[in-house]
Amino acid sequence: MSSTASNNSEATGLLPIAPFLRISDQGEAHLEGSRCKSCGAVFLGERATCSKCTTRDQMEAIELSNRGELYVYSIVFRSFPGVEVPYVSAVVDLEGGGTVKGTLLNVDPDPEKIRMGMPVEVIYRKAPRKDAEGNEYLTYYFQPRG
Amino acid sequence: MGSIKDKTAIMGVGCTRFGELWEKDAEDLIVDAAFEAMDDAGVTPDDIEATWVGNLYDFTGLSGSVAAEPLKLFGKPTTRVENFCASGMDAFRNACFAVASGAYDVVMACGVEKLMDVGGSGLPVDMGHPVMRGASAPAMFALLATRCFHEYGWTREDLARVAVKNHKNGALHPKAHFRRPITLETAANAPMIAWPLGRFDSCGMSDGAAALIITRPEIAKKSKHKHDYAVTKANALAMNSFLPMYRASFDWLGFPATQAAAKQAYAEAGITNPAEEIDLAEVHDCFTITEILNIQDLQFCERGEGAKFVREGHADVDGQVAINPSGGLKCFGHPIGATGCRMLCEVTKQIQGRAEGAQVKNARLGMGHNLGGPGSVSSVTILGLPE
Repeated sequence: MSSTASNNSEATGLLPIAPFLRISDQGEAHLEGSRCKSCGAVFLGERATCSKCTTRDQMEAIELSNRGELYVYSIVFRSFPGVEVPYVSAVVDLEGGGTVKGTLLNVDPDPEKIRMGMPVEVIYRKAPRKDAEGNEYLTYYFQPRG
Repeated sequence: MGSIKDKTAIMGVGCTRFGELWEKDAEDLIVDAAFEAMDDAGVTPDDIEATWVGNLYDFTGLSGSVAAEPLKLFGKPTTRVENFCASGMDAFRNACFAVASGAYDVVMACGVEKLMDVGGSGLPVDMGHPVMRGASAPAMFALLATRCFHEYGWTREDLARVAVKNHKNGALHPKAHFRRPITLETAANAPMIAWPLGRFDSCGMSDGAAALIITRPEIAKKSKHKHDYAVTKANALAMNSFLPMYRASFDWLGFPATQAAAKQAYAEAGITNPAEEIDLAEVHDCFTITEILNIQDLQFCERGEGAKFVREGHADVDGQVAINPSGGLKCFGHPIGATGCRMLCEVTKQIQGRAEGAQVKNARLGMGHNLGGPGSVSSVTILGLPE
């Protein structure tokens, strides 16, 4: 993991790890969501129809917050080959809407040290592995905030 | 809306031993299960007019050939059903509707999975990614457990009690994969897979197949099991969003798909007090936490009371509702496409008073429940005695 934080020009040239991770031409990264102009519901990623009120073609793309709270977590001790363990798998509710699953960094992998509802922030880093074609990816993580 | 209640009957059931069956392939397994079911029903392959087969992982191009080829069911319909972990039970559901319509008199529902031939040491659920891989099934279900610990004060010991109960039951069943009882200490101190789920909180990887022969009650009355055939009381299935846990409305304290399928099933069967009326339930305990949540979602107790229900013995074979008297997915095994059919074989035999493992006394009404996706689909089938 070399590059740090969002608004980082090092993101240029990296592929986004997920369709909802957007990288601007200036190399600035954010998580993209969509908001229903009819009922106000917010979702992670792009969609054409609101899953809450089923209104079609009223979804607008929005930039999701990089601040949120931990809702649930697990400490993963056994995973797929090549994945470093243990790591903390987390689901975070972002401020203003949007629920995202990802890896929580910079906490001890110990249930005594992880608190439900703890404030976290989204950070962007180069992914630790390349794909089979040698492409490099920008990914997102969470870390405790403040 | 109409109802399937009392319109279809189980003529016969068959199930292979579950486990790491290196000496058998998927075709061998489906032949073993289907012929056991046909022998039990007193019919031959010529009597089977149509077949539905549940199977998740492809071995014959995702087609009806999964059952038609090994059983040589040529010149008649066979349909492969895939609906995640509910595949086998959905095969049964479709077979029931076909018989109830009057289009066929005798059909087969079956399911098979040969997980040993798929490879891998566990079931992947979250989609893989070229560099970030994916999440394992235990890592997904563990998230529900930590939230329940937080909300309800449940502990690792509450989870371990489910494993101890299901091992106790499975040890008595000659067809179960794992046949050794375990202690609470063994379960609670097992190596961690994904906190708070350890080795004994997870079901194993098993091969197996199961089959049921289905007809209408008027035909069952003249069949081999004329004095003890079971009938369907409800066939429910409910979908939810794919991976509903990634939606803001998901509270990680239960599965809306199970809650919806249970509601449908109880309405169809005319059940108003599930804990009082249902004698046994084979529920989808892919993980110990899932069994506890299923108990709540199926309305056997209030939300938040699931761990207490198990702790107080209400889920035991002689408890209020015997939960997984076969040993469940935990101990009997979980060859995905076969599981739903395996559960219904067990429920049928329990109602007939000829359970191969622990027999629930005076079992009259039993349930099979699957949860798949995880969380995308749930099926609930209720079987009982004819009116």
